[in-house]
Amino acid sequence: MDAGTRILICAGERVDHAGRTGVFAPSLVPAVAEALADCVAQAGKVIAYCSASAGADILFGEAVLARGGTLNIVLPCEIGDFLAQYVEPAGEDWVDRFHRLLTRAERVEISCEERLLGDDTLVRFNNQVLQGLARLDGDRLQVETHLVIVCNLAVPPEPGSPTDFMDQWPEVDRLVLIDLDEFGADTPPDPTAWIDLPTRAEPATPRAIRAIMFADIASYTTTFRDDQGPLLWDFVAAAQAHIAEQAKAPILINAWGDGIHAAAESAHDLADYAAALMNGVAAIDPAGFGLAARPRFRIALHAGPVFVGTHPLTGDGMIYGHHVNRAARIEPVALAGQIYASRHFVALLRAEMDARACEARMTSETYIARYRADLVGRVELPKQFGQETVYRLNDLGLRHARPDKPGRPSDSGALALTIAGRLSEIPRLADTVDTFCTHNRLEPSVAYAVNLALDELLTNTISYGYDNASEHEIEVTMSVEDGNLVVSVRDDAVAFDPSVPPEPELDADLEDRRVGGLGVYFVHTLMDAVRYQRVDDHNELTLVKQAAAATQED
Amino acid sequence: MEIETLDIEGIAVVAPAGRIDSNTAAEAEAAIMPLFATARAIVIDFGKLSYISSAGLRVLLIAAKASKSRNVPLVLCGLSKPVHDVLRMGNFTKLFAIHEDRTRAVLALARPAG
Repeated sequence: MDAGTRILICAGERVDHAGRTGVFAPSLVPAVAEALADCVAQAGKVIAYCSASAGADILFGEAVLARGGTLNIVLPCEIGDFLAQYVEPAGEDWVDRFHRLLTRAERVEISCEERLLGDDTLVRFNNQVLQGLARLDGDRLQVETHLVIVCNLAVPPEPGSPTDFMDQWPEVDRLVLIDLDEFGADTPPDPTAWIDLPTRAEPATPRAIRAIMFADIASYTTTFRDDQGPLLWDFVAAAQAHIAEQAKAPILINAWGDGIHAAAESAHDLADYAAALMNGVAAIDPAGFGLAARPRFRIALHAGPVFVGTHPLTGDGMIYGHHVNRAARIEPVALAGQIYASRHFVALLRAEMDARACEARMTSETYIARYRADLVGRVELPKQFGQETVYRLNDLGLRHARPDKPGRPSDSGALALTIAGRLSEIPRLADTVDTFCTHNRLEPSVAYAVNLALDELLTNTISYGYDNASEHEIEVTMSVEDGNLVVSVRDDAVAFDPSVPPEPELDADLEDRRVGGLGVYFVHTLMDAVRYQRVDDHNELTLVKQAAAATQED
Repeated sequence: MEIETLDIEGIAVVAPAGRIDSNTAAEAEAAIMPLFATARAIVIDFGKLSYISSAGLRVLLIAAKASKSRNVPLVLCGLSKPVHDVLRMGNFTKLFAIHEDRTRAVLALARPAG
């Protein structure tokens, strides 16, 4: 963590031009430039995210570069269209400044590689991508992210406007508002004149932001012989019962053989569906359906503006466009049993988390993120689709906000420990866990719960999981993430899946009571999520515990 | 693990200290079970116990079964909150009379059950 670094996002009004007046008079440019320069100067070392419309965006970008900051520009459409729509109307001078800015930026990316077609939806999506990318950077570097808004509060917000952006921002103490109205515009805003004139015609084919999923069953043809087909569909039908319980159906879903294509209106809706699909398949014993192996989906998620319509042959809803094809190309690079997501999906998800945190704050609740995106890296997509930065989406299994509590668990590093596969190692591990929890200001009850869960699981593994006398090792890692204690355990014992909760007979008469199954039952009672996968002949288990921090009084 | 045992007028008090887990459960079992042959009643005092897992509950279950079959009353006392929580999670609190501390447990056993 670099205390001197700060992430800044700027969403600024465009300077007035012949077709749009009364918002940001050109006469205010020097004063706004000065205010932005002050704002950047106060931030120390700056990593900045903005678009590049003629007006506050460009002024902000120039201020960042003047201070030696790193500038990331995200545009909502192809550069030619952007210039025509958002820069050229303000004059030649702004076009020159636009080009100088783009040349000197660290990175320029486009959130929708298509023509703009006069669609405010794209601008709003661009804002979400800007916000999400900046937030991901802030999360990764563990530095503060601040939003700088240059707007005119005398003008009502429209979709994609800076005021609209501000409404989605959860941290009021990390917001800088530069109100053009307060700079004393020479002419009061004309409420009829600020709208873009002439009004653009509705596009012939409507576009919308959609989260897009492609999925299939890994090694479907090689693993499941033809005679297993009917068994496989019975298994999937049983999984569907779980899925329907856990997530709402996507607004569009199509399937052919083992392939699935789906779309939803928000990244969260689709992530919830993808997670339900994974959990549904994991919850059922494939042996019970006569299957030799557990069918495992590989899932790819992407997001972007797409065309929406009705398929003339089927009469069903459909989506099409560049981003649908791109989503389809990401799926083959995903690993079995994992949810992969594109950079823009993860950015949209992150921006939605901010919006959800805003909502939760209104009702005095604390928002807990359900998902965490781990960077996989930049991968080559098939069929000459170029490269994509992909993330692996981890479901932390948390669904509800909880009442606010004083003190929050602090994220101070992770614990990684390798122990020998012997029972005598368990108390030593317990001491380490206690120290880790104390250090992270977690309540003693959290440490106790995690220790008990680990004890039960490791006792099972060590007592029953080794079919030879050789030395074994067990890897345990622990971290605090967004207020959750996340524990992972990896061992080379025989395959054992404890993620299905047992149902011990707790009410049996004394004579009939057994202790078998009680340990795993404890694990499920104590932990908020238990996830299992078998990878490379190892058991990999993830436990998640919501971890309220110890209060000051303790 | 350290296990204190003493006899108060035929009532055996056994007090394991520290942890009862898969490492120490056998030791606790070996300390408790012979008492059913010698004592007229047994108090297991958890006052110095900081931790119990399902391996410990297994020992308690065996003891509860012996208590019933041999007609030797068995009570627990001195449970810390975490230990009590584990017993409750396993629905074990119904199987035993649980007293606050050793004095109350011994007094309860000394009186004829009413």
